[in-house]
Amino acid sequence: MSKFENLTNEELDILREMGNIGVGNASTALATMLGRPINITVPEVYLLKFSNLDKVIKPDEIVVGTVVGLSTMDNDNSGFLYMIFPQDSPNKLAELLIGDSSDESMVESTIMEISNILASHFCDGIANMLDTVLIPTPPSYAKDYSVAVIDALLAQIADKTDNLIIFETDLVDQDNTVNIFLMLIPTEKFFEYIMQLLEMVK
Amino acid sequence: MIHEHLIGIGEFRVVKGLAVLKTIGLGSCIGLALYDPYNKVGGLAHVMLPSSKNGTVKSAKYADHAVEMMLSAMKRLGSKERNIVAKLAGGAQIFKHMNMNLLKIGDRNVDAIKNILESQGIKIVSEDVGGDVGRSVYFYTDSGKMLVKYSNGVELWI
Repeated sequence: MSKFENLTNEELDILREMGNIGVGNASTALATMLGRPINITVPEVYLLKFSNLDKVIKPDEIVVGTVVGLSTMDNDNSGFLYMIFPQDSPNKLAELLIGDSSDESMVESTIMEISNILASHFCDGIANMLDTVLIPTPPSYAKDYSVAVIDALLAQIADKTDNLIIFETDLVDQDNTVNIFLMLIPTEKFFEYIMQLLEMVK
Repeated sequence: MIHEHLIGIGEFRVVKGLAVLKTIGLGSCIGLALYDPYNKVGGLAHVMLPSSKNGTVKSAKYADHAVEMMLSAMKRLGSKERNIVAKLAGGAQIFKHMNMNLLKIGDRNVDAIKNILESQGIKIVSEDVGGDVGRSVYFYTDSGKMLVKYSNGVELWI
């Protein structure tokens, strides 16, 4: 994966645009669901070694996180979408959607449902751009250290590569009360597929 | 002042004398410490996968490579293999709902490390593995003590 280290600014821009389309789609769905505007930040693209993951996420922060696996039509694992709901965001989302956050299992169900919707719209967005089909698995839910939530998933791609590519975007509602971080973690193979398309664009 | 070293995913570090080796946010991964009480040499690895495959680049992310690399680094610092003992923590399964086939990677990591240590004749003096809660590990290389901090606030020394 020599490509990894020497991406041009132009290629990074296209990757950012891909993240933008996915997250844009997801945020529209979330805004409709919540009945309030959702702003998104310009996606960051990080290329890093596994051992430097703590440069992107605070490893000792305890978060609510959900993960979906992504696969193509022929069942190829394409990577993971990791959705992080820091601090009060899960409770705020439950209050906005069902008017109550006192029951933890209801908060969990709310987060699962939101993750489902974010993931399917995110996948539609980038799959359209890439002219493929991406199918998300149902989400898995955990509340733990931000790294502990995903290390079992990272282990699945760690055998092939030491390099991680992460797209990170922040979804924020108008009052700044709800924050969601989305991270797309593609497999080496899916990343190469994306890069091939970039070659064709140039 | 005590030196603290953060061990990232798939990394290891070996130190003679006093230092704190820490690794944060272990889910299915394992914090594997090796310790030589006579020469005060200790090491910690953040292991991610049970075993390497033929031809893979040497990396402490694999249990077998981690043990091999730590042992040779400890020997360079004057350790004798017969003095070395092990402690380990981690190998949890974080997800409550197993919608994805995660292949119980945490359990496989624990089993692999135990097999490797046994075949090397290295005794495990204490361990805290499994469960469904993430851990952070602080290993004190002069005393061989390991502090395990759970994400739910529980702490224990092993």
